[in-house]
Amino acid sequence: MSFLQPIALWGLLLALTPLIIHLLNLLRHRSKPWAATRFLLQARKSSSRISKIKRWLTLLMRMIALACLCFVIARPMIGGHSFFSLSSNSPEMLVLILDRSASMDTGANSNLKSKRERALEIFEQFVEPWPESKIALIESVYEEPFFLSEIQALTDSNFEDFTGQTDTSSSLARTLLKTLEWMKKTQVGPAEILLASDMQRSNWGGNKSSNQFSRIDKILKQKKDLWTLKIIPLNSKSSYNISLRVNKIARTKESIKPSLTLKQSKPTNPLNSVDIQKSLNGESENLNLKISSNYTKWHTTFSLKKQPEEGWGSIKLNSSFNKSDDHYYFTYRKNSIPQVGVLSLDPVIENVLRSAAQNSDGKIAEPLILENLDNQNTTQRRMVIQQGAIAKAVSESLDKFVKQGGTLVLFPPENKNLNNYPFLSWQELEERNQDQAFTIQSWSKQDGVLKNFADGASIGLDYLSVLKRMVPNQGEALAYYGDGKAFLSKFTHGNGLVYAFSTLPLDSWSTLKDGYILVPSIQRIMLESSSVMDSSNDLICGSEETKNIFEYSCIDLPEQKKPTLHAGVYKINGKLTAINRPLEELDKEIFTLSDLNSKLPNSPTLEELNESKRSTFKRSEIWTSFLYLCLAFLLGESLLGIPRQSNRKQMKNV
Amino acid sequence: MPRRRNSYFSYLDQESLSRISGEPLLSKFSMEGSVSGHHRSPHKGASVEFSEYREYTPGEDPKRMDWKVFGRSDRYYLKEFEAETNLRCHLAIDCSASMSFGEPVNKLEYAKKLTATLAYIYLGQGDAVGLHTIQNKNQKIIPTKRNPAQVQEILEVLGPLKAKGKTNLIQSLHEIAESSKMRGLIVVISDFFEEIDPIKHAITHLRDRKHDVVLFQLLDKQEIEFSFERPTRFIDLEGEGSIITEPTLIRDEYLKRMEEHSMAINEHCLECEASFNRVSTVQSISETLNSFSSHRREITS
Repeated sequence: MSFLQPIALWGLLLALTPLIIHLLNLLRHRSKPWAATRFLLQARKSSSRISKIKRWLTLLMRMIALACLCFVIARPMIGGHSFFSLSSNSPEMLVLILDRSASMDTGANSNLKSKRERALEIFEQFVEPWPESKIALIESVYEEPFFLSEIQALTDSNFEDFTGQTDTSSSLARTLLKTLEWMKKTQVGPAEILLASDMQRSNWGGNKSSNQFSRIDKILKQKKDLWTLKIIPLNSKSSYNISLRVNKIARTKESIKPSLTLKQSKPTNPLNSVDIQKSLNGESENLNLKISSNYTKWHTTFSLKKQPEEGWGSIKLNSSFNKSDDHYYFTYRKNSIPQVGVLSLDPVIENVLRSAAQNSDGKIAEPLILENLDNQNTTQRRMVIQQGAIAKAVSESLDKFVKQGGTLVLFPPENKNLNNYPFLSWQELEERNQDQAFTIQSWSKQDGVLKNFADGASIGLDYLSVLKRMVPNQGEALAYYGDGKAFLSKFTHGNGLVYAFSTLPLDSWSTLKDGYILVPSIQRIMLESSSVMDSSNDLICGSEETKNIFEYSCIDLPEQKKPTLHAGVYKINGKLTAINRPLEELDKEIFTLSDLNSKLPNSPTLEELNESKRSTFKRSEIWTSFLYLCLAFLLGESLLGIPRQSNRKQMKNV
Repeated sequence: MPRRRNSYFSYLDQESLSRISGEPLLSKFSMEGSVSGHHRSPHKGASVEFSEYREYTPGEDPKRMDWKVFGRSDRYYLKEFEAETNLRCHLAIDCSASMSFGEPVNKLEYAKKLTATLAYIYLGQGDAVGLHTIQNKNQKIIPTKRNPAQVQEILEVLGPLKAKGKTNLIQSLHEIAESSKMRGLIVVISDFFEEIDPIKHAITHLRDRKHDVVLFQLLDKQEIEFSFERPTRFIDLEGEGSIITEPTLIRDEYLKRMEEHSMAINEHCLECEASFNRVSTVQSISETLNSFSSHRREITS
């Protein structure tokens, strides 16, 4: 026998209380002058053994009743279902962990019910045989457990906020861990936990969740006799679906040009065309687009002529089979000339770089003073060129700036340890003399910042002579040295772009200072930066930022959507904000049951829910037996205390 | 707390006096009195109460011959009448320490009231009343007198009486039996916490002397119910030591013993035609005497 609350067993000491009180009473007797002592003496002499036995029995019953009460509080468990459990082996609680990520609204079977709706239906059928059990729901958006008074509440329209469709992603390892920790904290007894998910790999967090998995494993191991975790199988063969994905949105002064991909799944009977609705500031235009294969790339243009400087737009598929992956929202603002800031401690380098970043009005780039580089400045600027040592605070500011959509161009520091970016590191400094200088062998001549000029002339990288270099470790190389190392690399970080050169515009380093390579490449990076949509205000649906939004108004469907749950265009703090579903929701890779079991090596093997095979708990609570025992002993004690009928008659006769 | 002399009259229970004084309390047996009274006498004589006609036997006093019967029947008959006389009432009150028990009124105070009221009633119907205080030492005896002032004298003795010492009940009852030469009414007021056999012998002795014996056993409510819960040390009032016990354990047995004791006295009284009255001190004197009076009337009618 084990106990759910073993600390309550200390209360067993209380069972001695009646005995102690009895002994204390004997010590603390009172004195009474008495006349009929003769009869007392006679009575004591012949006081029946039954009276004494009765007295000790009464004490014993009180002690046992108290002990039983302690056992009730300690919640004892015995192996398997037994006569003493006095119940129908019902679990104390039935818990549904509901994955409400956008992918759960992909059609699950031919009757077009989504996986989410199917999960609710299965859970409803699952709880039916156990009307006495408590029902708890924890869904992946709010991750807060709450009890359901009746199972019908799951499909109630008032409950949509907790069971309805969303455009969010989910972190199932975190949600599962939160559920188990809550159950542990509230000392839940036997429980059935059902996890309803399409088991999308991106929802399980990969290696980032290893700590969470180890904690889940530990709890499940501890509670292996009490709790069973099962997976509702929902990753069954999905039906036909077509999804929309925006790859890139180019922005010019008078237009917005999204580049999209339409993907058909299960194209056994592929569609030939699809209806698309384009909206710009509430004005809609319907198109019929011919599609031919699994993937169809499509470019469209939103003209901004006669449109306000700030606005919003959307693209929707009208014939989609999943409401969560058929739309995209964007906002736009005034397209200004990119502001470029230069940050370097070396005045020569700073002057060269400022000159190279001259804008179309002939204005050279501003120097950035380290102390003034606060968050506000970085978000206002589109592009920052930085070289040399920086403090950690500045590094964090630049990191935030890039993540929010800014472009950062980096030049190597004099020493590899001087920079401490979280997103980039440099190799050791390499030096050569003039005769053996590093040269560039190959680069992308057709597109990118090093492409040939409009007349076909090369940018002249093969004339560049590099005496010192520090090669960036990260990114895709746009140009290579003769030994295959990257001269210039590029990578995305958050919503922004990072370019990293491997040498400095100094005579002692290279001939980059001459400008025939530096100026066009910097100018092209500036142009690219200005043509990227400013998405600094945009948010991902269900992200922590959206959970903290309390004052908002929905623009595209007023009063029908919430930024935490639904993609759309909202006005938040006076700013137009586009909220879109997380892109990883289009990921089709499945996190299989064996993957999950391998992450939880010490837990009992997880299985899929099988309707025909219900759980039989290895342990069941028997506190009710102790409660009845306690009541029985109290009743016995009361009966022993009732005076005999003959005595009462004697008293009446007097 | 002893009462002041002038408050001894409060021992007379006014309610009882007003209820009972109208009808005489008669003796169960014929009494030998000195003057005429309400009680039957063993002697025949002049009286208003006709008894019987009896044939004349030569040698008898011809004064009581009924000449009218002789005129009608030519036979000699004697006309006889019941003689009625007064009685001598001996009130014996137990003053042992055990009589000091009881709340709110102890048994001795109750006994004093009962004694004083009975004395007044019997004196009021022309009987002679005397008092015996039953104590270990300094026993007081007031001889029987018919004088109404006897009440005052009895109250003077009752007033300062205190319950103390061991009981001397049995010996005192034998002494009363021996000292009372003429048959009379012996009223004993006590708790009778004595061995049962000596009590029986004493009652028998009194009855053998042709006395009409009336016993009042006074008991306190606590003695009857014994409703103690906590362990208690019971200290004997007559100095017989103490006893620590759990009342709940011995309660049944105690009540049984107490009941058996009273029943034994009662049964013996029935056998030898004595009266036994078990009285709880929570009863009023009036209720006790009313019950006693009714019982007397039943057995004398």
